Amino acid sequence: MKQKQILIVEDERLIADDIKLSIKNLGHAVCGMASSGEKAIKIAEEKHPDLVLMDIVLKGQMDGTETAAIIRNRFHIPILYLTAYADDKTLERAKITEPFGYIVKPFENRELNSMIEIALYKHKIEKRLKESEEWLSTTLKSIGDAVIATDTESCVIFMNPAAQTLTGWMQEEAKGRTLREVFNIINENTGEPEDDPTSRVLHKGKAIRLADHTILIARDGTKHHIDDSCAPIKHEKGDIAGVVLIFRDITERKMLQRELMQAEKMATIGTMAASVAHELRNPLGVIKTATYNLERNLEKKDEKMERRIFNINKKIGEADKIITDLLNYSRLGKPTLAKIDINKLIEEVESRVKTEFPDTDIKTVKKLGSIPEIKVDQVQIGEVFYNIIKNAYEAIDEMGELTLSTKHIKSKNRVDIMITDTGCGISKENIEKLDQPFFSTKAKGTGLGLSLSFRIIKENHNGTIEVKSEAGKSTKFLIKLPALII
Amino acid sequence: MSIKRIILGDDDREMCEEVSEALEDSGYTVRCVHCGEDVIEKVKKEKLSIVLMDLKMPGIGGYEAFKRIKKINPKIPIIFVTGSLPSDVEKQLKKVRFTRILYKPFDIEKLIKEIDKVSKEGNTHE
Repeated sequence: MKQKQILIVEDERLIADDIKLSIKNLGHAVCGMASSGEKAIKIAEEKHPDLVLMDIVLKGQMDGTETAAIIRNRFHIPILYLTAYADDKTLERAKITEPFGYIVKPFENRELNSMIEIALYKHKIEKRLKESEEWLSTTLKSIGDAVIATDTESCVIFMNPAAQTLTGWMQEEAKGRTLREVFNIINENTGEPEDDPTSRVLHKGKAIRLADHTILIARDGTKHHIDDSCAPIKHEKGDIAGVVLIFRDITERKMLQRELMQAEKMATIGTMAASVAHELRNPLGVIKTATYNLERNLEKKDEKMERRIFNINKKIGEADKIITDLLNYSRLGKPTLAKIDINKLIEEVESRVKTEFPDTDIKTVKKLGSIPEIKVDQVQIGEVFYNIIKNAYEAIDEMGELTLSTKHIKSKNRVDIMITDTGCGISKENIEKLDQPFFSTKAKGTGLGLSLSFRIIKENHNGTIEVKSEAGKSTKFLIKLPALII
Repeated sequence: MSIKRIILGDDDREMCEEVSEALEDSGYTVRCVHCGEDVIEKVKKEKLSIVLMDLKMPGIGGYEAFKRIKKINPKIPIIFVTGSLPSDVEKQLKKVRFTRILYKPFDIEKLIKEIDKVSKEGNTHE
């Protein structure tokens, strides 16, 4: 065994010398001798001995137990007490300082030797245990997934930083509370609270996974979709010491999944629409040409007959519009960007829509600001304006006001376009559905116009559309387009 | 107006019937066929002023027929009368001379205008 450096703290010189001799005989070195607590601390700090032999009763300000406590806490050096008094009270006091053993004076060399060996061994083991604990705790803290451990009563005993962030509870506050309080989960579909998973684990004794549609409600009310597994903490013998919960935030993944599903749906609609449109246009084409031939061959001008033909043609036009909308929606082409005067475009579109509603009394208020020309696809943005303004006209139904305003937000390098009407408004739940294809509240609508508009702005122009509405009063569409200079 | 000989390729029989009725009344001679191969045959054998055809037809179809016709006679005007075209095909076709696209359902007047325009283009290059 390697020679150990030992500090002797003993206020009786004769005894100290005797111990020093014994230690040397045992093959260790004495790195210092102190007769008082203060001196002992000083030497411990300078020389970092492997072990301190400490007399419990010392002359001076500090006694042995006090000195030992300071040396333990500051330098983590093991202490072995020497004492002539083996009474309970003294031992009780000494115990608080986590001693590595006691030797009662007078003692044999053999006895001293074994006590030193045991103390050093115990210290080594303790050090290793502490390191391993620290390593484990650092590892748990570093894990990106959230980890919560509970005892067998489902009370929280540990939370790593990820768990603290997701739940909004700090470990210190959460400790001792029931898991249900800290880990508040509901079912995404029903909105009902989910059972505490730990009780199931404790009951079954094996690991479980939470359902795919679990939502964690954090302390501040924010909701996260989570993926979770829950397992018992088992001792080597097999008895359960508690439960460990591992979960992660999958909100983003869920959103991506949803977007992907939407994209797949669109692709299916696209393929179907293209073939249906093609197939429908054929018979429609025949009807139209046949009607043309019929009209030409009418023997005499017959007003009633002309009216019938007019109606057929009108309906052919309507059917064709639906097909065209569907086709445009399913294969929204890449934008052809060119510098466009938005003010001019929106005015043009507005007067075009106006001609389609000759019997209405709608006042148009224009608040068109000084805005730079921006790079957009003129046809596509025109389509967006057309859809929104036409909807506004339909919502107003006879009398009301339409406001068109544009603004250059210089700080954000953006152009804002606002289209407001005093029409019937849109209910809150319907606002959320506006960007969905085939959603319409109108008898004649296909539900493609606005949906296409949202896609044109978002996908093709990197902009946003916000809709605000007061049912029965007004609707406001706010389009924000980045002002591309290049 | 000189009599113009038109070949109409469309597998929809009623379409052929109605369109040729309308065009013949306007002074054209219309021959109807119902597949791409037959369109090519007619182009090879007869002196035609213009080809009208659908994209979707049995056999080689309109697009393939179009490519072969252009090899036989690059100056013959071709008008596609069709329900829809894949956007890449549409882009491609718009670049080709003496070629037009007309989506169904179309106005006969508009078709006649297109026929006149594209024929003039072809003739000035003859």
